[in-house]
Amino acid sequence: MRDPILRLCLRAFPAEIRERDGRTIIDLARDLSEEGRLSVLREAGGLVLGGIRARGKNLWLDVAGAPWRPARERLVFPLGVAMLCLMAAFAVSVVQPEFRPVYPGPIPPGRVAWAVLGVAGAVAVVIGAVRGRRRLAVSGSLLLLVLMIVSVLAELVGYAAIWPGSISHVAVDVFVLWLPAAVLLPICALVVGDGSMSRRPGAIPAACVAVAGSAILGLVPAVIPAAWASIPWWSDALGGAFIYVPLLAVAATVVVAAIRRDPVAKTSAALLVGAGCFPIVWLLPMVTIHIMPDSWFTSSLWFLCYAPGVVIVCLVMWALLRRRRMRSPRVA
Amino acid sequence: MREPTYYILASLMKGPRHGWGIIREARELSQGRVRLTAGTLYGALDRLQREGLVEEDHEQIVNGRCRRYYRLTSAGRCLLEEEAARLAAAAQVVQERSSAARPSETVEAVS
Repeated sequence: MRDPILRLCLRAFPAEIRERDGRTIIDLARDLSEEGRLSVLREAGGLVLGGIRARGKNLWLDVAGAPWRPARERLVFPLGVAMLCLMAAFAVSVVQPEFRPVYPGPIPPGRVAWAVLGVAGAVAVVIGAVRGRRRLAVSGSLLLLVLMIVSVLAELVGYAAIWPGSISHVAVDVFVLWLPAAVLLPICALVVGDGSMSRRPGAIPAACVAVAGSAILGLVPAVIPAAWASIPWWSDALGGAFIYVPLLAVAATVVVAAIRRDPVAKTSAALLVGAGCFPIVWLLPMVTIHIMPDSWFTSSLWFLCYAPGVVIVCLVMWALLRRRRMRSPRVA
Repeated sequence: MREPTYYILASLMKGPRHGWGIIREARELSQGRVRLTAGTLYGALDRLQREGLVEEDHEQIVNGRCRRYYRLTSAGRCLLEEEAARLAAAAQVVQERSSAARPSETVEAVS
């Protein structure tokens, strides 16, 4: 009975430590556990405690040692492209005669002007990132952030959300979900610092392609929900209009980062997951509404519905930041 | 330096020891105050190795069980001696003040 307990507790250590030092640790624990009746429990507790400490230390080393600065620099361009997609989609949608805000309340003035400013800000970010013009990228990203904050505050001051979608028939403002990405963008652009944003080769053609491609890509979600509107299953499963865009962006980033195995790309992906976590955290309670009894949601613990989403986001970020450690060989 | 670390390093001063020997020696030197387990000893030794204060010496299989011996590095020995000198100086301050205060206390008690 003693050995299985100690072996189980040894699993608290990270795999790389178990592979290298597992036998020595468990043999030492066996030696010590023979000293008395309670020694097994004491050693088992010591193994669990030591394993948790080792995992905590690894986590800290992963987070502290991640290449944050190049990752942030690399994020400016994809975030700018994502914003341009979003703004292009909104700019196209807002002029459609069938565009209707879901929330009640007065129609916000200057919606078209808002959309035009949004497209302009995103274009500035993309061009600034491609051509290595830091000031342009920072200006565009700050403009986008202000526009997002205005959109989010609009609901609070009585103008209602200006671009709602729906998830399981629950209305939601898409821009609220994009606010974390909008906050991250100027941070990434600003911390590049001292004008050191690297210029990409073939900057002008690349900027044209990026802007045109993003704008065209932005039109896709404006078309797809209309096509899927007659298929409730797809519409609900994908969260209705536009909600899936940030989720797809996060998923694509994670997949690309995993394929490339590039530490900077993986750190960028972790940042992007953090920025795009709000939809994930928000979406899960929408699913649990159909599973949990109504009394749960009227209780004071309803906020725990968000916990699984937070845990998932943290685990994905940890997986992206985690590094495989190579340690020096033992002395023979 | 924390007390367990101090006694782990102190236990290696007389030569290489394996985990069980370190734990037993640390317990004896600290008069039972430092009671390490295999898990906590490994964490401490791993940290001390990273800091260059101890290093692995050799491995031995005894009764089918693996025993890894560790030894103190010169950096570890220096740090330990500095820490011991610091503790001795700190103890001396208190002892001097304590012995200086005793005669007056005695006078006050008599008066």
